[in-house]
Amino acid sequence: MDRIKILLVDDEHEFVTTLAERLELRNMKATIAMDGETALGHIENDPPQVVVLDVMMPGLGGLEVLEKIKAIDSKIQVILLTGHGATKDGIRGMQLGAFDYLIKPIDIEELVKKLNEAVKGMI
Amino acid sequence: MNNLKRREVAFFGKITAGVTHEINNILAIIQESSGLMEDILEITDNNAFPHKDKFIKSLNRVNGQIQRGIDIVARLNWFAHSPDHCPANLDLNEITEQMALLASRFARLKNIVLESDPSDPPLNIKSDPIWLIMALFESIEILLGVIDSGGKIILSSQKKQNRCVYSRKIHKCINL
Repeated sequence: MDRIKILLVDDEHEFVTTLAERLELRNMKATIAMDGETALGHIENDPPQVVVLDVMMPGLGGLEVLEKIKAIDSKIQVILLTGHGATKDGIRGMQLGAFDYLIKPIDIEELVKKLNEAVKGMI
Repeated sequence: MNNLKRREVAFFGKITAGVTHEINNILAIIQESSGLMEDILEITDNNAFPHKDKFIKSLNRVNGQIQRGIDIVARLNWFAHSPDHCPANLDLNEITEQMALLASRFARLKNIVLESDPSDPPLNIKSDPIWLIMALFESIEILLGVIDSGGKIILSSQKKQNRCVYSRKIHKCINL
């Protein structure tokens, strides 16, 4: 089975690199971006199957990035990461086409489950 | 509450909410780092890693404390966001539960157990969240001042004659 291609977008470097390592150990191919502009560049050049996207980032916010991703390729699935008290952003994101949202800090097994579901949803 | 007071409360809420997001990010990094260590230990042969069981025990303790931190930060974030809307539609079960948890430290220092008992069906009211939270906290403080060590307070909301009221059950209350 092909490895799932994921793009992780979060401005917290330590968080995103460690999460990428954990997903690699679960046989997934994880690339990272630390801001929305870089993420959009990755999506144009080497589109992932799923983007895991933090809602609160400096510069382009997560919801703005989500809209741009969907404009580039509506088939790319997006899972949003929100903070406590920001579930409204998650719901708004789903209205904009996000597959789902998770509240940070996340449970890795829950994320893996959502990633698999998101890829199945693409078929 | 007048406009100036409301702005003061909103200011404290905004700063506190911002800080909780930062702490949350720190906890997320610690959680992922600890999780990565667990992942690596899982795929490492026992013989190749002396004291593996002690490392796993330590990581479990770290994880327990991370979860504790996440719970505290989530409650603090809820509290910080409480002045965001006024009046607001309030779920009394949620407010009772959150306040019992937020005030639990004050109770613990007096060796008193503070719990909430959700009403069924849940009660919702439209009110000023700050006033309601303050009133509930002051009631808890008064109760903590009159109950002896070893006591227990259970908070719940009830509907009585079309009014929502808070009630409290007190066990081992001696000095009222």
